[in-house]
Amino acid sequence: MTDRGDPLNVEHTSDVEHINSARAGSGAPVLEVRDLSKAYRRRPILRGVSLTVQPGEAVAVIGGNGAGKSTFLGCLTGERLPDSGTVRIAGADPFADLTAVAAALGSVPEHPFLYGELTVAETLRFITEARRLDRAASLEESGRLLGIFGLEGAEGLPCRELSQGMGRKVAVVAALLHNPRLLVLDEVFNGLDRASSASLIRELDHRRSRGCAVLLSSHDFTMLAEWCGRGLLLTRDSWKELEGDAWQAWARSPSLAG
Amino acid sequence: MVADLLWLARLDRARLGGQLRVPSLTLLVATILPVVIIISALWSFGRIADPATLGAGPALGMLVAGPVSFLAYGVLMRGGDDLFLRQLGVHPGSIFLYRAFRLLGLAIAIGVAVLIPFVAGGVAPGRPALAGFPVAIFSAAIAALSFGLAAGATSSASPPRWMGMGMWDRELAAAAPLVYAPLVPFLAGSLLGWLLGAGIAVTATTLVTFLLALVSLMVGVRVFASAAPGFVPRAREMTYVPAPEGQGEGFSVGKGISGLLPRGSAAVWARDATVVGRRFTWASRVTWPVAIASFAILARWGTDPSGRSWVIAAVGVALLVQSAAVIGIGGVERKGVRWLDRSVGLRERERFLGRWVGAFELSLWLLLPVALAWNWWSGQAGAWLWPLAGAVTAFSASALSILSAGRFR
Repeated sequence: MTDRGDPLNVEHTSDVEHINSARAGSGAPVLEVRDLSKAYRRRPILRGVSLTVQPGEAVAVIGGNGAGKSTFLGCLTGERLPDSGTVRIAGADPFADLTAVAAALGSVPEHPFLYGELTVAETLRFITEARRLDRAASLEESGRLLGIFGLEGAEGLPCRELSQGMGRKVAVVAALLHNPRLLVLDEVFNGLDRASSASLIRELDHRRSRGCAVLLSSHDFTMLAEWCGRGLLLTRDSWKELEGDAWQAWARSPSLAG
Repeated sequence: MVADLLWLARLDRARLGGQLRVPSLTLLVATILPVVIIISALWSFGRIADPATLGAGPALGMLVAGPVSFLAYGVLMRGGDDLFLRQLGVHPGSIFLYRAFRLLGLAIAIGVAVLIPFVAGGVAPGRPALAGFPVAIFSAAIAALSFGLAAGATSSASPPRWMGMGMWDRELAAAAPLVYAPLVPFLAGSLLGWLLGAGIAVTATTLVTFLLALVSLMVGVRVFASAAPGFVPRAREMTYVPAPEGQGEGFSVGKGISGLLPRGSAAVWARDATVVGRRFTWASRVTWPVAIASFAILARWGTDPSGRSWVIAAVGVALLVQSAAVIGIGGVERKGVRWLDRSVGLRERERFLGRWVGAFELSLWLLLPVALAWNWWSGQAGAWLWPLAGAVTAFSASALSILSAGRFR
């Protein structure tokens, strides 16, 4: 019997496999990273990481605590400045062309702080205005997304009164509102209940089928193995891209050793 | 208890040492800058006005007791680490006594600050000091007693309902003892200032004052310690504010000057206005009393230099308070929400423009009435300088706010 609330029993498994298998050669890459390096106070965290992501792909970013997952994702979204290397999102440099990158990218950081004084509705209204989205369409889409994540009726709540999981869901809605081409989600399943995780997986499937690529970090290796098509394994002193047979082998017995 | 106090002092020293070793912009903006501004404002006030008119009586008492009473709640009750310290086994009485000592230190600093205009104006500070310091110490001790009793009343099974009469909000009515607690040290300090200023048995009054202060402090600590188990969790709940009415009607884009802004900056303007209105309510609340008082003083004493000096000083302080709120948004952003503006593609110049226009508009509610009154009744030229001062202050505050939020890169 299928548990509809279990994120691991994804209903669209065949779609996911189809999307994962249809990865290569489907147009210009939505993300290109070349030789990305980053150190904190001379302590190297990222050493020349390279990665290319095509539209519709789901790539797992795997690593233990302190391996550099959030640093890597932060360098993509422009929250952290790399020491060397290049990043291109839909062809644009996140450190030079903020507008183009913001239009193509939706991101949820590991700690998605929201303005506690604003209500959920006001937060989404702010996103709509700042992104210059069509107001009526954005209102309709935010209503749909809030409904999917079980947040209907929470529009009037100040963000400071949201639980950790609810706040994260609001941040996800904010990241999806403008139909991004690339989603960067850092530990986004933390604090979500099983039903919400399943809803998020379904929504991400839907987005991927329309060409949106997803870069996802999580400590839930089983979910990553089932849902993603390949991975980037970060360790304290190295990195490795897992695809094809290497990814299949990792997915059969996920570990931090790769 | 002594061991606890020493441990808390060492903890504070370590925290302060850490901040001073790596001084941040936040430290400069939130601590050092206001102190420098206040000292220079008091010095200027002493130079342009006649500080002798303050005398050493009730006015001086109110000047000292007012800030002590106003700051007492924050110093005594708003420790973010209360629960953590309790879990470590620190006695609540020790925590409260330590915070009372902090308030005492702050009160003495206020007593020193009040002497600055006298020194600047060439008036011997001896008499004001003899009144100011006892008032400062007495107000702080009475504040400890008053807030200790208020904590007990708030957390008791049957809080005094009569105190909440006339309060429209149920949560506010439940916290009525805390709402009224600052009145007690304010009135007590003002009364003492009057007694000392009048020169009635000064030595005896001072001795009795110190004795009363000691007893008040001890009783306040004792009452708070017994109330703490119920009060601390309740105080945390009280920090939640009720949800605003509606689902976003307060968030208005395109109103006022913001209608002229590009959409991204207008969004920043609307967001900042909402956050300032709800988080930094004191910034908007200070505007109307100062505007009304300045209008009235210019209408009555506009041709008198000391009247105009007062207006300049009061409006300057109000502008500083507004600036603190604008800079405070940057502090909020630095603590985490900055990612949101980055992710939606807002550039620094859009953020700055929205924030500056919002800050300028906030200042205009204060400055336009003052400029009109100045033009009509002061007999002086240069009314246009008021809105210009608002624009410049808003510009500086917005720049500091954006800087204190940190750069995106």
